[in-house]
Amino acid sequence: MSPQGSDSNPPPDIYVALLFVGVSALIAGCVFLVLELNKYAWTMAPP
Amino acid sequence: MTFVGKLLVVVQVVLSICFMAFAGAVFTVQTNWKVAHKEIVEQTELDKVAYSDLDTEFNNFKTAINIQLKNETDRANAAENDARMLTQELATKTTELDTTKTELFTQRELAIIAGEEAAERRKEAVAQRVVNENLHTSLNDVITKMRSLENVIFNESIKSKGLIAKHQKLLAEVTNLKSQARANNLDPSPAAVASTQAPPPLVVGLILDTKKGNRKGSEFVEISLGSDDGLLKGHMMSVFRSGAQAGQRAKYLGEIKIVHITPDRAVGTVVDRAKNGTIERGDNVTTRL
Repeated sequence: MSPQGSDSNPPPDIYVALLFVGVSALIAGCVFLVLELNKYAWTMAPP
Repeated sequence: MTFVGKLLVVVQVVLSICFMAFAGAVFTVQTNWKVAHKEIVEQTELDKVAYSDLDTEFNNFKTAINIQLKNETDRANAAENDARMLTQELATKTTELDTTKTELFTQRELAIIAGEEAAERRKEAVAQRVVNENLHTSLNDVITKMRSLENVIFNESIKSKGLIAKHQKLLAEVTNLKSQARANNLDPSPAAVASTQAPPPLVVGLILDTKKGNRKGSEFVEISLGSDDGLLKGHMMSVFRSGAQAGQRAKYLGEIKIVHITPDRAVGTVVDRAKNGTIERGDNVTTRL
């Protein structure tokens, strides 16, 4: 991503940390949604 | 990294955090509609059963109510008839009540009068009670006297019994003596006995009439004296001429015996006659010379 080539990896900065935080939040949201769907036994139509 | 890449990273982080927050909120707060649906279905089933029971009960109740309504209707009709009859009876009773009130008023007046009369009678009773007490006292005294008199009567009855026995004995003796007197040609009558025993009083009368009796020459004379003058049958009287007239002198003419007597007259028969004397009307007669 850096203009000088891929040999030298730039050091992680705050934005990389923010990306990890965003991934973690997405994973947590997906877990919550999975748990919610477990309550309905994964049925989408009303009985 | 370009500015746009940095901005997109930041936006991606913010949106990820928002997604996580909404998902967590949904998981935490959102109602479980499936469970709610199941509970509602179960509740509906229970309500249906309860409704069925209630409907059955309602039908039974309706039937019972209809029967009761019919009974109550019959009772109401009967009650209306009774009420009608009672109304008529009430009218009759009202009339009777008026009559009774009138009678009550009359009876009350009578009761007042009777009460006043009773009060007077009570006063009279109190007075009579006092009199009664006095009478009781007198009665006790009289009873005491009566008992003493009963004792006296008892004693007198004993005496009288003795006297009656004595009287019977004396009557037997008198009867015997009368029989003996008749056998001896004696008059046992009290007048004859009295004439023979009691002397005649001293009286002087006149010869009122003379009459020849029978062939033996017995003579009856009527004199002006009777039983009111004390004479009795059987008394002997002397006949004399007083000699008060001129040329006459006092003379004994004879003796008569009273054989019949009235209160103011008497008839005697001559039992002794003077030799030279003739008993005539106007001569005197006396019991003692």
